[in-house]
Amino acid sequence: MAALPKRIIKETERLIADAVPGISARPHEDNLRYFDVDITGPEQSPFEGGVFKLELFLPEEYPMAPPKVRFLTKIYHPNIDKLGRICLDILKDKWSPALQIRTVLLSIQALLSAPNPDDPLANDVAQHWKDNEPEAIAKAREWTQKYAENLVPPQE
Amino acid sequence: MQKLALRILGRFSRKTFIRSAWKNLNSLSEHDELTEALDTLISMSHEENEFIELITVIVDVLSEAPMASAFLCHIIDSAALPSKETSHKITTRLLQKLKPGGIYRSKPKKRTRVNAAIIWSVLAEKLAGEISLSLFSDNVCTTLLDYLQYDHDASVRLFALIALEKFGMTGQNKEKILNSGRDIHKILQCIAKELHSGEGSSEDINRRRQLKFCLEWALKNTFDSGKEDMCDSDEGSVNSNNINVMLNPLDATAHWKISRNGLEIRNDNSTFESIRATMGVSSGKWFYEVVLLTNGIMQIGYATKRCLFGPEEGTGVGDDQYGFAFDGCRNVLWANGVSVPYGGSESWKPGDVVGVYMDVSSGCVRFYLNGKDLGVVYPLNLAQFRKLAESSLHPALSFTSYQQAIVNFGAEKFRYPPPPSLFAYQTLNSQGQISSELRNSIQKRVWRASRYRSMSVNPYWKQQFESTEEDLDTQCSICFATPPAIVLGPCNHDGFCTDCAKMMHSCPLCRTPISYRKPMNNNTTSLPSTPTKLSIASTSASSSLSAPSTAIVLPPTPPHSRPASSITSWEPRCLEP
Repeated sequence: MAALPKRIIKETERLIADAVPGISARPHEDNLRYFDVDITGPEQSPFEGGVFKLELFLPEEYPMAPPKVRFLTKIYHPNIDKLGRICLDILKDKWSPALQIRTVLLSIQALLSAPNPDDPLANDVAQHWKDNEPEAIAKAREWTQKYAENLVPPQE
Repeated sequence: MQKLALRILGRFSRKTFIRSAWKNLNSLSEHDELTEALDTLISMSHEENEFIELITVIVDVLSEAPMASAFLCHIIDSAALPSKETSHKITTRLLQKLKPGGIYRSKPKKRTRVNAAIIWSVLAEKLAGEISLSLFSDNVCTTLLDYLQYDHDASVRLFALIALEKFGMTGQNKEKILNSGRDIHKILQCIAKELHSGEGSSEDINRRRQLKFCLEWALKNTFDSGKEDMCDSDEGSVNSNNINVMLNPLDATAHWKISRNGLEIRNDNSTFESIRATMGVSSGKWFYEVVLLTNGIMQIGYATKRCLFGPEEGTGVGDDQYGFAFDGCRNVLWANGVSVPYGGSESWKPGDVVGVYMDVSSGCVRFYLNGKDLGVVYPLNLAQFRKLAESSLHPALSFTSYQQAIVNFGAEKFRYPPPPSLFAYQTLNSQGQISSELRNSIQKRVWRASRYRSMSVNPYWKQQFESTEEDLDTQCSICFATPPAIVLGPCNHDGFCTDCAKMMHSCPLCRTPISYRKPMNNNTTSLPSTPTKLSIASTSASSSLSAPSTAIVLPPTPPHSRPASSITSWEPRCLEP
């Protein structure tokens, strides 16, 4: 049996042994490159109180190429589109092999605290954010209650 | 509106609607209209029932038109992730369509079989874990294995194999294939042997070549038996000593299938894959040839190292200011990210030979199709062209899904050489050079891709994590597996092993482009710098919320500072011990 690269084994070990508050990542039993991720909505953000499910996949060429991550839970956020794709430079051209699963997930958690409507992926949401921030935040809060407060995984 | 209308019209008209939307899609050429038509179909894929309906219709209507499978990949790519139930239902529907003696006809059409296999392979590529398992029922496994048999058409066998390969990426599915009671290694080997002999139309020969290429790849990679010498192919035994330029899998996107001589490539992934050759040029007149085995969208031309390959975004050679390329499927020339009409009115065909001529000093380019000159073209203005050439232009190719071609840099005779009296060109192969080290790295990469992919899955995976508690500070900070040996220049960051250092183009810690790599001096007590940096990185990410998009604060990429020389290869300069 060909082995999983050491790097992935080590990272997984650390993720499990030394968990980051508000973030959990577990590899699938049948595919150690595929992780189920839960991120808790940061305090004082419209996502507070929600638990967001994500999938994370380490492509073959990881760490030379970034992991693939997307939200499975619906979220109202200017940098995340309705398919859950995330607009984050370190997941694209600013990837560096020195970054890790842990740092990627921390960045995503930080993105929840600080939405950036100037670099939008979901254009209508970003416009909403720019035009009327309080209203957009209220909607994000509403979505959090509606889709993310339930711990049962959302059905497609 | 659309959704409301659909709901009212119900299932029958929904089918008609999808059919016409799909037909519409394949007849459009304007970019905006196309995008709209695609969005219509994509928006339908968000609802489970409509998604299933969409797949059921597509399995009938997906045609051999080169764009069709690209559209399918795009739609599935953009669709919401199907649930376990949805994927189970999809599989059931597809199997119904394939049932011999079904309601519709006594034997499923060849096209239906091919399409079902394509749909399964695209879905299998996207899905992992339980969803993939629910897609890959015992019945699907048997059906696909059946389709490998010789009484099926070569294209049915080809796509069945690709689907099995994609399913095989999920461990339990692979076990299912291996434990199906049929010896997959033996089946594949038999087919590979049987394919050696055979005649037919050039189209048949092309298809068989593709099947054979994929079989050999599968034998060496996905379904390797662990014995390396098992399947020595033509490519393997080809004397590669006279090959001085190869396509470089170390300078490419990740999903290529590539022959051992580095000259035949295929993309079976749903992404837009790109690759550069080992050699780049800064002056002179050059010619190379590409023999196409398929007729889909391929962009063939030249690019510098700065050309950013975006397989997910669909960008490749010619899609930015760092290169140019010809696509004879749509008959356009790409440069600076825009396309202009170029070439004939008909799309290229399998078996066609594309010639690429470039005169660096005048910025003049000519493409040939089967020896026919498609005309002089200046893809970029001269100043820009020369600037690109300074940083060295590499032959480069980008392929959509299921495309395959053979590149000839001059190691073999050209099929349609341009008249040398007119153009005193050189062949890249006559000037190129591949160090044995690079040759080995390429071989290793071709193999290593397989190693990772063929990782079979151990349900007791926790055991894998038991053993290793040595100090990571003594290992390369990228792979965690090999002692560090290299200092990157000019930034002087260290702590990387030789292999990792070779695979990176810029420093992972500060993003400075790497211009040389030198051995670490063991006398200095410099510690590998990464582990500490990384812990800083994680805290800075959680605390500096103002910059959420960068976990490690790295300076922006400085302008490219690669020294100009007339011929550069990928080879790192300072690796001599």
